[in-house]
Amino acid sequence: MTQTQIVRERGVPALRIERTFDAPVSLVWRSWTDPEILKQWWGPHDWTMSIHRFEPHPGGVWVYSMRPDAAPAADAGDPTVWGRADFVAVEVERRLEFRDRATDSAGEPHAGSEMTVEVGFVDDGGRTRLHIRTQSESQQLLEAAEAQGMVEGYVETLDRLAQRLRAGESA
Amino acid sequence: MFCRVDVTTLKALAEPNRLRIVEALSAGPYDVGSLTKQLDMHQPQTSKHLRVLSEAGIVVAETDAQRRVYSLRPEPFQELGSWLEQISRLWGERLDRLDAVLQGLQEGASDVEASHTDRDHHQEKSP
Repeated sequence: MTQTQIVRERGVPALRIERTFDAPVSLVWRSWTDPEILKQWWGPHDWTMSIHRFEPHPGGVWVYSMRPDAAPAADAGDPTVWGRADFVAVEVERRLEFRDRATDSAGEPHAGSEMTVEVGFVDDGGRTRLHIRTQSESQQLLEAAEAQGMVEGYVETLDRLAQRLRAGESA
Repeated sequence: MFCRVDVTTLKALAEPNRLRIVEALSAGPYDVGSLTKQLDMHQPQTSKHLRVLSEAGIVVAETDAQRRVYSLRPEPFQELGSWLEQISRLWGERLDRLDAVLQGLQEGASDVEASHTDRDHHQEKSP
């Protein structure tokens, strides 16, 4: 049984997801921290994920790549997508935090792709409730801007503008 | 996968006067003179900000009878606005797969027992 709840945080590009899985915490934790299991679900459907480095401890690194199962067009170039995450917090069967980003094959990050992911594991009578919070690099930029006393209500402004512009487009 | 947020857009907007210009332009296109007056800025300052916004692809200028008229391009805002939609879809699909894997792992544990039973059963039957 699953329940998903997606809560958008007020005014910032961050997303909270709550979902309950019909499995004990120990198994859910293993699914996140055993690379053999993780690679079965992390990447998109019809892509194969390879995990090249996986060090689930604070400061540890997780390097991975993903390839589409379908053969690419002859002139399309290498479709492999690379990613690298840095573990910030690893508390067994309780909490994971890492920064994930897309990189090139040499490990150089693609600007704007970084996300901070925090995962909380909570036992719910033999089932497991996951709390996942994702925030984009843009929020870090935003926080930096706010710390400098720059802008208040910045993202709300953007949201409002986006809505207006969309409304304008569909009209 | 990843949802990229355009850092250029954010950096261009992370300046209060540029954000004010963008807000003013969301009401409709204006030339430098009207923007300067409306926002109580100096014209060289307005022009400088408009240049940054233009380079970031946020505004576009059109020449209309000697005047340069500025308006917003919708694309950067649509990208920002769709971040949440993209990221929630990404997680929704990813967690569906996790759910399936967890079910497989738990059924797998009982399948192993079941296949043992089958094999034992076949062995009993075989001559």
